[in-house]
Amino acid sequence: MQKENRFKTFINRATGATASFFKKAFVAPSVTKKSPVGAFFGSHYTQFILLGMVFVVLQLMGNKEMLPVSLMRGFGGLMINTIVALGFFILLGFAGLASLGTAGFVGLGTYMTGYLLNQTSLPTLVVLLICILTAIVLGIVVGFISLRIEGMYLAIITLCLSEILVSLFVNLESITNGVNGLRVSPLPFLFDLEFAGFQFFELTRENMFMFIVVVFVVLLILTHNLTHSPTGRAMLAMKNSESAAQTMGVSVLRYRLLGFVLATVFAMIAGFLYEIYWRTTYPTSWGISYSLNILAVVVIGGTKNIWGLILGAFMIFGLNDIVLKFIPFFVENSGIIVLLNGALMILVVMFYPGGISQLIIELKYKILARKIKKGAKHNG
Amino acid sequence: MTFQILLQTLLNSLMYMSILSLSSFAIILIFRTSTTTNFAQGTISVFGAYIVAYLFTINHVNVFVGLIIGTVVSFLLGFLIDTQIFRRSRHLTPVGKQMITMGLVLFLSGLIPVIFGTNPLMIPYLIPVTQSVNFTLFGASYTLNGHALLATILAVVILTAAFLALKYTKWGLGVRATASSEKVAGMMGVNTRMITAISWSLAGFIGGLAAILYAGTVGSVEQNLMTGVQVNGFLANILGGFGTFYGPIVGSVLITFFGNTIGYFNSVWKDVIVYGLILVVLLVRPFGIFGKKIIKKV
Repeated sequence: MQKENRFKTFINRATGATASFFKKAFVAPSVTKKSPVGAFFGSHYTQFILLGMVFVVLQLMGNKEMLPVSLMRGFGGLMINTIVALGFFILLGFAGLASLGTAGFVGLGTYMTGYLLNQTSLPTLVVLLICILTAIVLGIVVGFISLRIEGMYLAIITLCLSEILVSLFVNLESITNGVNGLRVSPLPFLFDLEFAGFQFFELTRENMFMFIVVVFVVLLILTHNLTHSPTGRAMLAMKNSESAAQTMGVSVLRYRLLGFVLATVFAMIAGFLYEIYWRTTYPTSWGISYSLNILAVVVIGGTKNIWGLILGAFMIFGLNDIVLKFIPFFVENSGIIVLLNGALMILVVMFYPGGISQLIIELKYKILARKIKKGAKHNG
Repeated sequence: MTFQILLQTLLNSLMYMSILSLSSFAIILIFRTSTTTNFAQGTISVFGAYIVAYLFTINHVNVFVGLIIGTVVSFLLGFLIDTQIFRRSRHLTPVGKQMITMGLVLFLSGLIPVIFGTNPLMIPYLIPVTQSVNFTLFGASYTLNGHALLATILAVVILTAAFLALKYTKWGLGVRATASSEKVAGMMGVNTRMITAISWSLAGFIGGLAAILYAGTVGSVEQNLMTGVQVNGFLANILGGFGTFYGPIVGSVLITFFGNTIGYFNSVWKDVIVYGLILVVLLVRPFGIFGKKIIKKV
């Protein structure tokens, strides 16, 4: 075992050294002169918008019945779950706070959306706004709890909060319709001013998919910018050493609150999208296993790169609905999918502790190395 | 009158109390030796219960023989998990280890339908429901069914044995040393590999026993049998504190007893009230009732 460890540290050191070498090399003028096309495709804005456009094209193909409906549902669900995971990515990966209460907050989002759309005549976007405001309040409350309770205790106390919420979903039957689930009917419009007689963009599954794509891309860009800003760096400092961060003037109160507020806001936005997309919500969906799956996405995806996170989400939530569902062998033995998923998860964590994003970064440097070699030949 | 209600509530709680104590002890045992909360505890336990139910319904094996086989298999399962997976992943962060236990949950819940089929399997009371203990105290009569009595006796015996072992045997000393610092314990010549392996096996055994006893009261075994127990087990752990071995057991007793007492008056809001109380207690004592603040060096 020791040998293995030594080998690992050696590899880590070696990759670290090569990484810093190539980083330096990357700044060398002969390599960094990017063509405008390269700059365009290298920008994260373009990359995320392109991803969104791929989804839009897929849905357009789905509308023409070129793709099966269940495949499109798989993509829709994947995007909603990725939004939840993005919030958790900030919370765990940057602020370093673990929470097992994610499911409860997503559930709260679905129920609030369902109730407000059914019982009041509020416009859909106002409902979204109310969800976000509630999320901010909740996030601040949990953030204050996190100042007092730490580590594993915090994770389990948020689980406790989530269980309280689920218990409310089951027992407040007059609002939530209990175990039978809350259905949205009739279909809402995105821009809905009923009193003015103005209704536009009915949120059918197909239209809702487009709306989800827009929200998804916006949140991806937001997360990317946040994590590359001073705020993200301050959070990262707090994660690595709280005392050191405090001495450097990072306010723990501020960034813990911010971490929880963002995670809850993302979760409740996802809840809003979920309720309108799937049109129904059950208390049983929001148990501990959903929170654990979100945690799994962030750990397997890794916290160094958003693309890693997206791939992680695909592995946990998408693999089943998007790929394996269409292979007859797996349809007959549905247990095997879960088994393989579990085995894959154990293997990734055991042998790639940094997650998929670590893999992506290593690949990037390999490609860079090849480019530099070519450049050297060309110049020499 | 109120005393009578309290005592009868206590008697009714004994069953769940024993199961919860066993489960939370299994969780704390693994937490202390492997520094991870074991999310797979419930699933590992259910595996043992499935074996008993399978032997009982398909092969018509006597329940008590099944009980022995089931617990032995859970013991071996715990041993396998430690030696094959956790021994190789000591360098991981606690969150990484938690992820492995998550993966185990998925792996086992995929494996169970492949081996035992998708239908829930029947499992009987270990002692028939008709046999119960009736007694009178201060002019009021109380009942306790045989299964609950057996569960309580088993839990008390096993937990007492475990605590005596922790206190007086070489293994117990090793566990305590590993719990305080695995590295230093290893340097001092404690065979930490063996210690963790035995702890995992014991946790498997204890969890399996808890699941079998619990399955008896539910009547059948299915995948999510232990989810609720496991969540309550975690709550019992933080209520009592991860710092000691007896804290979680006190936590389990408190959660069950207060839960059932509140449930006597209002069964609908029982969970919300109990969880709310736990939250309040944790806000006052952030490291659990018996916990101590861990001082971190910078």
